[in-house]
Amino acid sequence: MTCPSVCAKLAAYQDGDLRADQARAVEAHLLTCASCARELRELRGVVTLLEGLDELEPSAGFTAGVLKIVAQEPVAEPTQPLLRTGLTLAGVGLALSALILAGLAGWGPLDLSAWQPALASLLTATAKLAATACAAAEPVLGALLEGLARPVGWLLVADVVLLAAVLAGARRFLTGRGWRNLTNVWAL
Amino acid sequence: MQFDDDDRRVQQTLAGDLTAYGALVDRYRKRILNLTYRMLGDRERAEDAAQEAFIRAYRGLRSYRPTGRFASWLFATASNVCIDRLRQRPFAQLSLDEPTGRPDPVDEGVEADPPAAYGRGETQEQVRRALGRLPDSQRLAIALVHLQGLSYEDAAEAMGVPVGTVKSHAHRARHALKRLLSPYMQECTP
Repeated sequence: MTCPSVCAKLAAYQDGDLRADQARAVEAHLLTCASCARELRELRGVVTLLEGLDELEPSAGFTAGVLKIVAQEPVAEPTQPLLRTGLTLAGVGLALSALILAGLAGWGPLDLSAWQPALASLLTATAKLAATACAAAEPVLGALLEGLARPVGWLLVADVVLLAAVLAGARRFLTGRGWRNLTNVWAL
Repeated sequence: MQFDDDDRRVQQTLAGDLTAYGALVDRYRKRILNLTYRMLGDRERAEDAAQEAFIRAYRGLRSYRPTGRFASWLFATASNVCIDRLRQRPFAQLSLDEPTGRPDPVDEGVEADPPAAYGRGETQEQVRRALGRLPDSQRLAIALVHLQGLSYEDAAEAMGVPVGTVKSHAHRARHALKRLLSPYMQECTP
């Protein structure tokens, strides 16, 4: 190895980051090159100087000063008000989905009185599911949204929740009496 | 384990227990203060920045996920405060050739041997000045890894960059410091 290539690797060698074969090559060079060996000694000397720096002690009123300010603030308020907005939007989406389902269920010359219990049951179940899902998903959604550009994140979350609600509602509708009633209507 | 205890105190703080947050401040204030001091180069600014770091951390405490890495999260907050402060006003810098004028505040009244205190204080002041001549990102890497003892992984988390980038900053910084401090390394070179 040449001196420039060894010098370029000395800091990594010092940190133990070189592959075994690279480390062996550097060590072999250091045995024969006083200049590079001195370079390594000086790099180690830098670390020694840094580690020898004295440390400051915080002033006596440091902690009290911090607590005095934070005590005047609401206790660590949620820092993601947009998350609430996103969940609200998702809730609106779910409500719209329920309305669409209700409209589908009520479509056609059906006897509405026969539909009321099923529709009420469907809407109640959907609302419960939405509330549970939103509560359970908040930490996960929060973590997800931290990693996303926020506007994109909110749109994605609102869309995913809305889609899930629509699919869940549609599945229930298709597997329940609603679908059978509609097919009966179409068969008329 | 301290990390678990940190998370427990975070939860207590979120539940409204300010004493728990006081315990977290007490635990990390010295390390955070020394990070801000090495980054800003001035004791008064450093203390102000360190307090702001804890205040910011409190305000954003709900965004911390209890993963046992509160220290890294806190160092990240403090690093951001330092970067913000450095945008407003750079490191308090003097030339390496200028006489120091006064001893480093950390040495005041702690040495029994005045000549030794002067020599040691002078060396420390030169190191402080040399750190101030580094680019902010290199100084931050050095401060986190070599002065605060964070692993490269934790430093990368605190800086919000890949591990390789932190290593690169630290390696360049050590080479630069070697050039700047070579006259002061005679006595400490192994």
